[in-house]
Amino acid sequence: MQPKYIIDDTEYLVTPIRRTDSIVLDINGHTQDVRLKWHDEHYGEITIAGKPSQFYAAQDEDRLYIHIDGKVWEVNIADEFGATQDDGNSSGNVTAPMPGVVIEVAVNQGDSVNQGDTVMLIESMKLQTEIKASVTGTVTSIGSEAGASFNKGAVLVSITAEEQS
Amino acid sequence: MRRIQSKLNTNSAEFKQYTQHNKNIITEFSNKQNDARFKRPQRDIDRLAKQNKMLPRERLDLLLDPGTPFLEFSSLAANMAYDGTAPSANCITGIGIVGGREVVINASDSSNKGGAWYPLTVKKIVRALDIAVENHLPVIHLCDSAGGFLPLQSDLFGDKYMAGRIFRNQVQLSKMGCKQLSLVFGHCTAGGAYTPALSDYSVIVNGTGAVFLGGPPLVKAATGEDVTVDELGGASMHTSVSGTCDYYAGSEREAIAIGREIVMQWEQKSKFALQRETPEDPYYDPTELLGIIPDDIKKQFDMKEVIARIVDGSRFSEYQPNYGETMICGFANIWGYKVGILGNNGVLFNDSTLKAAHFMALCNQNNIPLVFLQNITGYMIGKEYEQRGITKDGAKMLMIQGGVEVPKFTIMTNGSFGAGNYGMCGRSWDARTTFSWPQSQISVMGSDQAANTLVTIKLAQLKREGIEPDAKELEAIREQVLANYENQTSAYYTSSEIWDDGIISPVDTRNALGISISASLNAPFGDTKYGVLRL
Repeated sequence: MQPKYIIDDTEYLVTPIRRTDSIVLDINGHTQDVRLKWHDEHYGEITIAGKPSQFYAAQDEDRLYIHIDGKVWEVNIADEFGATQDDGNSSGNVTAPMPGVVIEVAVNQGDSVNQGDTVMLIESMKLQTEIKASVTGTVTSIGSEAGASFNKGAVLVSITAEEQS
Repeated sequence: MRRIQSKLNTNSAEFKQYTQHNKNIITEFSNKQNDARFKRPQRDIDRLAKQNKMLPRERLDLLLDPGTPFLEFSSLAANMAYDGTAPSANCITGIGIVGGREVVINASDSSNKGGAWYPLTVKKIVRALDIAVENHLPVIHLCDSAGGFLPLQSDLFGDKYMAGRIFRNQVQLSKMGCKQLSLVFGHCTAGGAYTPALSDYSVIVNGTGAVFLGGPPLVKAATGEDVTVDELGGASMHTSVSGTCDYYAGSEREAIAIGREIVMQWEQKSKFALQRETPEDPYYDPTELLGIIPDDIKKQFDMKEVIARIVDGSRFSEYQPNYGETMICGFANIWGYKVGILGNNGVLFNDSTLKAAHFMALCNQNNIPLVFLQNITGYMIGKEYEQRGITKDGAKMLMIQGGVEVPKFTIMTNGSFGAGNYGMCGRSWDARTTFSWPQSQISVMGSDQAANTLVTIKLAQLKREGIEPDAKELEAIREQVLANYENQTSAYYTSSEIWDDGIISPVDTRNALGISISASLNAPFGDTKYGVLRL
């Protein structure tokens, strides 16, 4: 990963080269020797090219606020290759990843569910696996009831995706 | 290296419930371990005091460098054998630091049954010496044992890996250039006499230490000769007449001081130069591991959350994150040492099996030790998977795992069932060290599956014979299998039988691995003979 930071609309590409006592960073083609020491969660000391400075930092998602040398900087973190891979599963049908038995059905027909909610607990190969909703929407049918066995690929729960507003 | 983003909710009811559940398990384990280490009959403690002998752990405190770690092996060996009468199998073994050198310790525990060798004592000593052989470590023997426990002699004497193996390993070590020192605190009789005699250096304590092939009563019985212990094998005789021992010590403390001085003369060979970075504590608190391990062996947990609480800075460079997702592979650092980690996130399918095999070959090519975090119920079974060659793929994983030249380390975090135990470097596969978490389980298959399989076989047998199955009899078979399983799948049984190198609290995993990896670098890594196949 090559993290990209944006400060005042200027992009900086940062590559860590070596991590030993200090970190050697390549910033837009320039090498910098950096040493970082945290005093607590938000307060630390950073030594750049031998010159130490105290700083305060706070992170809000992809935004980093740094107070250093009497000035506050706002840094936006942009991950150049950070785009998450599409797993191709945007269908509302939750299918069985392997053959098994239903232990517990966690939803009823007509329930609304959020993506990632547990909809079913299955057991296969001595191991219980939680089956999660693939999309946010309404449960339209349950494929297998508790105690029933199923084959790989069987539709366990069908969900009609909520209209994107 | 990127930090793992933990998804663990430490405020959830589940987290709190699991934490409490596992705290209870760890308290039970700590109590058992404390008893095994320190609870001794007053009679034995008094006897040692009367003989001016220290307790074995007092000797260790003086021998080891102050403030350095001691990685004890198999503290719960024999906890389920001999009705619990041989705590820790009457001996203390482990890796410690003496004079700045990593050494294997083999100390008799004379505070129980005179330190007699039970069958599991022999197994524990042989294992400790195997660890010395595999990692090229010197050994310090603290000798104070009554010798073989005669009522069980047939289980500890004659076979290949029994008592003779202790001395055979001593010979191998010397041949390999691994130094050995014996501190003779008590009697070394018969076979036991060879431990100091086969050591490169030895110190003997006047008055209590003695070395001879047959003690005075045996000499009297065999030849009629009347002789005292000191004349036959005391400190003065052996250090001035026979030359069997090297140094005379007036007290145990002096013997230990002389021993430390000897060790400090030993050459310190350079270790294998494994890639290393400045060590960094895990970003996520290791005590949170207790809230990750579920209260039921069947419930799944995310091994990446475990890795985040073991490795430096919780940083993990994951390999093939979107392929064979039930197998987590990736690079990390522990105590600064570069390692390749393999952890289970479910059953091994064809793709996850091939991913593991390929990753191990990459680590081997790159001289990176392997750490296995086992929570495995096995390789996926069924028509579809057999047709895709799951047996063949499992064989590939075993062939590569068994063939790598880099050191391997195994942690039994939860379940270890069936062939998954083999693939993930179970005991038979020569991990340099293997440690178990207290709630972990090992068996050839799950208890329900085993019981049902046996009942199915019994039913078929009765049907062939034309007999109507008796429901009660079948239930009895089931219950017997389940009861046996409960007993024998537990980590306490595993550790009692020395199928591992000890039970540890999950929180101590990082340190146990750190010491193990550091020790393993005393032996050179081998050369890989062929390239990496993309499977």
